[in-house]
Amino acid sequence: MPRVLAPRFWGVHLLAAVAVGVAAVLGFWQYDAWQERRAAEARDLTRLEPLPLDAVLGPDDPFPGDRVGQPVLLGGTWLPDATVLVAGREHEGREGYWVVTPIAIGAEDGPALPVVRGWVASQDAVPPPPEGYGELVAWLQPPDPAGEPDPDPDDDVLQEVRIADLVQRVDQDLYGAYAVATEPMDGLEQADLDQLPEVSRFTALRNLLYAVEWWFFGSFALFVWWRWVRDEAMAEPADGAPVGSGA
Amino acid sequence: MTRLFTTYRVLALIVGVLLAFCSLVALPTKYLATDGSSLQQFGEDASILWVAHGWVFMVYVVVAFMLSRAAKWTPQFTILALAAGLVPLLIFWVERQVAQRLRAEHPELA
Repeated sequence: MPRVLAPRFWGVHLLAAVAVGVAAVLGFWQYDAWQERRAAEARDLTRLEPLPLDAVLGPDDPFPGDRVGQPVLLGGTWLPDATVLVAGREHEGREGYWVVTPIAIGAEDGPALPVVRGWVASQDAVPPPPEGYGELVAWLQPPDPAGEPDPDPDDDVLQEVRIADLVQRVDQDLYGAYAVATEPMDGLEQADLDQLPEVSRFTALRNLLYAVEWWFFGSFALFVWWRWVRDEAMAEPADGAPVGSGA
Repeated sequence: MTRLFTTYRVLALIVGVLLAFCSLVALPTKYLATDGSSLQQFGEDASILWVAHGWVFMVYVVVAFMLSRAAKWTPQFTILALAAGLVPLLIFWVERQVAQRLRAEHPELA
């Protein structure tokens, strides 16, 4: 049996295993805290005071990258004829549809913003779209990038919220964005945000730095243990007295 | 070993000052000062130095370990030297012990 496996050294091996294990666990704990605090911060940003739409985004503006998930106040005329469904949207683990109706901001022929009114499990359960003037608070979202092609471009079911697809269904210009109603409308369930706000790079950075520290100390304990094993194994004195030192 | 010794002393000083400041100034002002007061805010902001302490301590641990191998310290003294970076003010005493020991055994270190 190798000398380092002698029962009188078991305590050392146990100590090393405990030290490495504890450091690894504490590192993961800090890492989780880092991720969780960033997610919480992102959710907090969606609870900001709503701003009027024109304070955030003009009809011809590119989407402002720092306004993902910004709550905006919308007021205008619903365009019920342009209502579409967007397939493949999850809500509480179930797949269903988003119900999207554009709203013409300001005047009836003003530029329109597609609004996700809510989520529905089946195409048959879609409530009738709203008509006339409406006001609501909604989270601003950038449009989906061009992705999978629509298998049936002639029906009212889309695969993505794409401005290029929606613009064919209305007579006016569309904003380069869409919005998700913060309160689901008439008979629909809440549509979950596709994209949460981007949090600062420095948010909860401290937790990440602590995580790295813990993993470093775990590696260091492993290194010290390995040095000790190597020294003990090399010592191998005739009288069996320990020669190697080290913590 | 002279350079290792100097590096060790510098790191011990930095770790000691950071730990003393964090635990004796930043920690009490953060938790004991009135909520919302500027003193409490100062404690909150100063707490970022815990991260600095942690990262300098990582370097300290490596250097102290290398020094312990070079100077053939006992395991007990090695552990004391490593752990000193975690107990406020202890490191200043340990650093003097280390200096005394090394000078006794290696007169050339002066």
